[in-house]
Amino acid sequence: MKKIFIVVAFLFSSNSFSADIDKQYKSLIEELRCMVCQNQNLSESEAPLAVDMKQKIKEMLESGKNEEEIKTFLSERYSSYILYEPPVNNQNIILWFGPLVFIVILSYFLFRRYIR
Amino acid sequence: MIIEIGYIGYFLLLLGLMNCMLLLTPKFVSGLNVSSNILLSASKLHFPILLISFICLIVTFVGEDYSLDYVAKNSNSNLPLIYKISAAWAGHEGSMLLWCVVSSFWMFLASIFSEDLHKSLRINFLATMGILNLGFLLFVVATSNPFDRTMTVPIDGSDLNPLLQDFGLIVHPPMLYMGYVGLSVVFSFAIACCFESDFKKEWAQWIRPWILASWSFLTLGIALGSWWAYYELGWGGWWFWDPVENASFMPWLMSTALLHSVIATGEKGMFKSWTILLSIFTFSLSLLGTFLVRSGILISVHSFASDPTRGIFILLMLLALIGGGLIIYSMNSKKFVDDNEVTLFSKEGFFLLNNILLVTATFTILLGTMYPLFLDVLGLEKISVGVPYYNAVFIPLMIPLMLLVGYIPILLARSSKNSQVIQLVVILILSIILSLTFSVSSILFFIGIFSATWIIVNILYDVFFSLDNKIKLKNRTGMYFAHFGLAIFILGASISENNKIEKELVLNVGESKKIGLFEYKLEKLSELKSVNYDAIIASVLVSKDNQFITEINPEKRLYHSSESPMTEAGIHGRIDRDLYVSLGNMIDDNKWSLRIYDKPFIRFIWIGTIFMIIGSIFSIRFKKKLS
Amino acid sequence: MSKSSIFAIVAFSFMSFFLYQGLYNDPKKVESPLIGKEFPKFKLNDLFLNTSHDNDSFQDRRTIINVWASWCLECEREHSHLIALSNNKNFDLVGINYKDNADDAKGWLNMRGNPYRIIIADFSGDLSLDLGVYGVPETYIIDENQVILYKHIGPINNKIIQQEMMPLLGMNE
Repeated sequence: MKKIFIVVAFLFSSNSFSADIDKQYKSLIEELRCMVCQNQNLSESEAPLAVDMKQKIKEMLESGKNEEEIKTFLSERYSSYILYEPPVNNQNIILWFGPLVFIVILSYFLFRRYIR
Repeated sequence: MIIEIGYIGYFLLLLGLMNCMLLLTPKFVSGLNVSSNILLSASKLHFPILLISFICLIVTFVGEDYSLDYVAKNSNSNLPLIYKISAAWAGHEGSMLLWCVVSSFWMFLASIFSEDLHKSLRINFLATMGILNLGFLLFVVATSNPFDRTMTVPIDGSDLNPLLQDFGLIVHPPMLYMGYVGLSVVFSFAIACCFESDFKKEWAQWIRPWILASWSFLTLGIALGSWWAYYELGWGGWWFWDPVENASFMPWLMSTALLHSVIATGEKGMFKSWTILLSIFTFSLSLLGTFLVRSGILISVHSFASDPTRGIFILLMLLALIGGGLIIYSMNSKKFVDDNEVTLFSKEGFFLLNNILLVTATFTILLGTMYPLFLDVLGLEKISVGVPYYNAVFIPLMIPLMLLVGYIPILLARSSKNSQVIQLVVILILSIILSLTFSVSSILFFIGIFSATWIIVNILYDVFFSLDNKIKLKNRTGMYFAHFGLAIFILGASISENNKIEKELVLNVGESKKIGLFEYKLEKLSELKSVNYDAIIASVLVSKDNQFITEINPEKRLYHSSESPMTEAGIHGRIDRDLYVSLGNMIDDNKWSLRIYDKPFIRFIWIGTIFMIIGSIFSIRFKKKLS
Repeated sequence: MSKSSIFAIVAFSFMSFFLYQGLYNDPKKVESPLIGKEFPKFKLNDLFLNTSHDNDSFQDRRTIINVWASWCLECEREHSHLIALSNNKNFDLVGINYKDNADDAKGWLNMRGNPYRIIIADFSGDLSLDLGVYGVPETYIIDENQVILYKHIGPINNKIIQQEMMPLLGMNE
C-alpha cells in the first residue's frame, strides 16, 4: 500500500515537475534571441541552430538547471546579444535608468514653465 | 508602348521637381507679395503630377515591363493582378514614390482648405510643405528611382515576396503613410507659426482636425500592421517591439500627446510653445522612423534592402529639417505667451501629465531601439533589447496614464466636492468588483482588467447622468469613444495574454487531441496547385463536448520563386475567442506537427482601435463651439 | 537662444553623429565573449581514425581552428585558402567537423583535399556550442596556452588572412 502511495506521489510530482519545466522552457525560448535570424526569438525560429539550442535548453532544464543558470551559460558563449533582456550592468545603466531620469527632468521643466 | 510609360513616369518626376522649385521661388526670390499665386498654384499642381507618375508605375507592373529594375525585382508574370498592382509599393523605391504622392496630396488639401488663414501664415505654411515635398522627391530621383532600367532585360521577374502577397500589403503602407505624412502638415504649420508675432489660439483650433486626421490614419495603419502580423506570421503574436514597429509607434505616442495639448491651446491659449515644439518633434520622429527602416542601420524582419547612400541622404534631410526646425523654434519661442495659467488639478493639468507620460514612453522606446547602435558605435559589447525590456519600462508608464484617463469624467464633473467623492468611491468599488469576476491570477493581469473597467465604468456613469445635457454629450462623444476603445484594447491585450493556451503537438491523420475546451482532429491532408505556388492544406476539425464547431484549414505553401516554405495559419475567429492552427513540420506522409493557439478576446485589440478611430472622427465632426 | 535650445541642438548633433557612424557598421557582427579565454574542455573522436582527442591534442603553439561541415556551402569558398595555409609549418591547422555525417565529411575532404593535421568530430555540436558557433564556417586562432585570440565568422579570404590572421600567427610580413 505504501509502495503504491509512493509511486503515485512520484508520478503526481513529476507531472507538476514537467509542467513547471514546460513553463520555464516556454519563457526561456521567448527571451533568447535566434543568432542567425533577423530579430526573432528561439520560439519563433525554425533555423537549425535555433532547433539545436532549444533541445539543449530542454536538456539543461531536465537536468535541474534553472533559468538564470541557462541564460548565463548561453551568454558566456554567445555574448549578451543572445539575451533579449539586457543585463543590468555599468554599460547599460543609461538604458535602465534613463527613462526615470528623463521623466524627472521633463516634469521639472514643464511644471516650472506652466504650472502656477 | 509599355516602354514609353516608364519614360513618361520618370519625366513627370522631373516635372515635379521643377514644380516644387517654382513653388519656392516667390518665397525666396521676390518676397511675400508678388506671385504668391504661383506658390498656391504649384502647391495644388504637385499632386496630379505625382499621381499620374505613380499610375504610370502601376501600368508598368500590370503591363509586365521588366526592363524596369524595380518591376523585375518585385513582380512576375504569374502574379495575380491585384498583387501586380500593389507590388508597385512593395519595395523601397515604389513605396518612397507612394510617400511622395501622399505628401503631394496632403499639400493639395492644405492648399485648398487654408484659404481663410492669415495670409503670411498661409504662405509660410505652404512654402514649408513645398520644401518637404522637394526634399522627398529629390531623394527618390537621386537615390531611389523606381523607373531605373536594368542592364539586361530578364525574361520574367523575380516575383513578389510571398509574405507580401496578401491583403495586408494593399492597405497597411498607404494608411501608414497617410498618417506619417499628415504629421508633416502639422510640422509645417508649426514652423509657419514661428514666423508670426504671436500664436493665436484660433490657429490651434485650425490645425486640430489635421492632427486628428493624421492620428486616425496612423492608428489604422499600425492596427492593420499588427493584424497582418497576427494572421500571417504564424505564431499568434500581434506586437513584437521590432525596431520598425517602434518606428511607427513613437510618432503615434507623440501625436496622441499632441492631440491633447492642442485642445488646451485651442480652447484656452495654454501650452503654446510646448504644442509647437511637440509638433516639430512628432514629425521628426516620423522622419527618424523612415531613416531607421530604410538605411539598414538596424536589424529587423521588416527591413528593406539597405544602401548607405540612401541612409546618408535621409540623414542629411533629417539634420536639415529637424535641426532647422529646432533652430527656428528656439529663435522664436519666447514670443509665445500663454493666455492663461494652468493649475495641476484641472483638465489642462491632466493634459500636461498625459504629455509627460506619453513623451517619456516615446523616449524610452527610442532609447531601447537605439541603444544597441550606440554601444556598437562606441565599440562596446553588443546587446539586444527586446520584449522583456520594453514591457518592463513601458507598462509602468501606462498604468498611471490609464488611471488618469478613467478619472477624467469625475474631474470634469461640475458638481460639488462631496458628490465628486461619492462618484469616485462608487465607481472604484464597481470597477474592483467587476475586475474580480475575471478570475485574475496575477497582479499585472488585475491591473490590466481594473484599468479597463475603471475607464469604462467612469464613461458609462458620466453618460448615464448626462442624458439630459445633449450639448455636453455631443462635445464628449469623441472622447467617450476613443477612451472606450482604449479600454477595449487593454481588455483584449490583458485577457488574451493571460488566458492564452499555446501548444505544439504531433497528430496522425485521423487522430485528435484535446486542448483547453476544444478537441482538434486532423481529418485529412490535401494538395493544391495554385498559379504561383503549391500547397498542402490540412483539414482540422474542431469540436467541443463532441459537438462539431468548425473546420480550420492551415496551409504550408511553397511559392515557385522561393526556396523556403511559407506557413498560412488557419484561424477560426469569434469576438470572444480565436482558435488559431499553424502547420509545423511533416514528420511523415500522414503525420504532422501542429501549433495550436487558443486566444480569448484577442479581437478586442483591433476592435478597440476601431473605436479609437471612430472617436477621432467624431471629434473632427463635432467641433466645440468656442466663444 | 535659450539654454534648453542649445541643449536640444547639442543632443541632436550627438544623435546624428551616432546615426552616421551606424550606417557603416554591420549590425549583425557580434564579438565573441570567448576572446581571451581558454579553449573549452572537450573529449571527442577523430573523424578518420579511431583515436580520441582532448585539449592535450593541441601542440602548444599558435593554431588555426576551423569549424566546417560538408553541408555548408560557404565552406567550399574558403577551402583553397585553408589548403594554402596548411603548407605553412609555422602554425598548426586543426579542423572541427560540425554536426555532420562521418561518410559525408570524409567524402567531402577526399574530393577537395584535407588541410587539417587532425579533425575533431563534433557530430553532436556540443563543443561548438561551447565555442559559441552560430555561422559555419568559423575560424579561430589560439595561442601557445590555448587562449582564444581571434574568431572570424564566415569564409576567410586573402584580405582577412593577411590583415587579421597573419599578425596573430606570429607572421608579420
